[in-house]
Amino acid sequence: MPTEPVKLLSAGVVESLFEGISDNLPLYRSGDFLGMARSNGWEIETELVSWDPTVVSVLDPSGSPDAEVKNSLLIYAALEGMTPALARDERLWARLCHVECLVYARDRWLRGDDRDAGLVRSHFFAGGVTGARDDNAIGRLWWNAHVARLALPDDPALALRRLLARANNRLQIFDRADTAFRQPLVSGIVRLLGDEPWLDSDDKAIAYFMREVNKRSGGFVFEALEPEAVDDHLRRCVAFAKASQVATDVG
Amino acid sequence: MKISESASYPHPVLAHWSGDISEASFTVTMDLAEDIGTGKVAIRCETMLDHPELLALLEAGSAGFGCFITCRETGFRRLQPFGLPTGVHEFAPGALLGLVQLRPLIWAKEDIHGYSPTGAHPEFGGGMDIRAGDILALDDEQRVNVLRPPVASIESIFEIAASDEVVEGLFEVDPGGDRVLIRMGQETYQLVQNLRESDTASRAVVMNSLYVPVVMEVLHRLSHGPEDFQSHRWFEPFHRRCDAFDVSLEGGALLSDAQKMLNLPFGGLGQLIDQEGLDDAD
Repeated sequence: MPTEPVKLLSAGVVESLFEGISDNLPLYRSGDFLGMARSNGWEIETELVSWDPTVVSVLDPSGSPDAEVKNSLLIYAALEGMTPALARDERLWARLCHVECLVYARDRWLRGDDRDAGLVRSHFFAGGVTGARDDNAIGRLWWNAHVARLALPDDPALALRRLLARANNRLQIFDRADTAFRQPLVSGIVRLLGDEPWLDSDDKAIAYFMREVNKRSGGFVFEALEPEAVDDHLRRCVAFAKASQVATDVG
Repeated sequence: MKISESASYPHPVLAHWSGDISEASFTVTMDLAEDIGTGKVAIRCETMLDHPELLALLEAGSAGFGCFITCRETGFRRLQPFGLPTGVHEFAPGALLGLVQLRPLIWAKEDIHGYSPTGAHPEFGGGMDIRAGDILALDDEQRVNVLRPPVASIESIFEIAASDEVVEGLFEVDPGGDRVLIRMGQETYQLVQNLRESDTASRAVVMNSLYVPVVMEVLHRLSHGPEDFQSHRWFEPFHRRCDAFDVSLEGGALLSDAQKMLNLPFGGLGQLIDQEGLDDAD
């Protein structure tokens, strides 16, 4: 596949676009930024990452779990040389969402109503850790696959299916990065998502579970344990989570 | 991995702040080496440990030594083993960015029965059973910065706006938007704008009279729960600036922290006054 360098916006262009969201809403909804993109600050090439831009044509904007899994794998594979540090750079994700991936980002996230300005702010920009990792239309796909590879290096597609089976799975796990981004724990959590039906019983179960994992996983070196011992620990967390849910429901 | 230095463990842990084990020490010095060209980062550890049982456990492979490395920017959370007494690890380019927290520790790699380290406090009795994964020794967390992006100007985080709802002479702080909004009456607003735009000395006066209390207020609100503000666009550059000036989000000395984050504005004002004095002398 032919590849080309990924381009970034300048920080000034990002700032100016962010301040001009309301004025540019028609472009986000049905136009494009190709006219603006001829100006300075729209095409800063990086030598570190290259990609095949034709991948954009096969992204599925439906938002279904299957589509999110497929898109995450596509974007992760397409961006050669991408690193976590670069994947924190708002200029890169903002460029993709305003130029190459504009149609996908629009179809995936915009609603055509008065929520659109807020949705553009969240999904076409990438301010801060959570902006790049959780909100940006393309950045979140890369981070999905990055965490899936951390969890199950040999089968990231399976990890993605489990992480993205429910929107709350991703939210609860990514929100507790201090715990959940530790490799032994995220691997165990993803294994358990496939083995413990209670975690798929409703949207609240994963929240109760992750709260217990967070509470009970400090001050201990899980990296020294075999996977079976990590699984035992996580099953104890499930038991506490079930009890906590029962206590809350009764209360 | 969050480790509280006030946490107590059911078994003796060697740490300089703990009384669990006396007359022994575990001290780790770490250096960071960055290659800006390749983006590679290496961390070098030099360790001083003088406890006989811990040295024996490490020698036998029953315990491990390393650092738990946390990098919020890149999501990196990993226990990285290091060699003893010196060890180096090179990280992949782009694995670390900005503030990196390093916690040196020794941990049990297997179950250890009847652990009774020399110098253990009598309350631990004649021997304890240790599980694989238990922490045996800790040193202070150390912090390094990796290829930190330029720190945003503090003023870019705030927006000053006139509001008819605020009494003249007062100002209010609203951190609920993309920027921290500082609202004030129309006349006060005009005064502040004039001062900011007139000359360097006036600008320094504004930094003292307006931004110091505003930064204090923001730090105060963050100390009650930064998670309430993490989705706001101002949070990340503000947090980065806190890291750069070693200001904790958990609260503390608000007045001195705010002045640190503003690059000691009174110092700047003082220099200006000194400069004016020199100019007058000329």
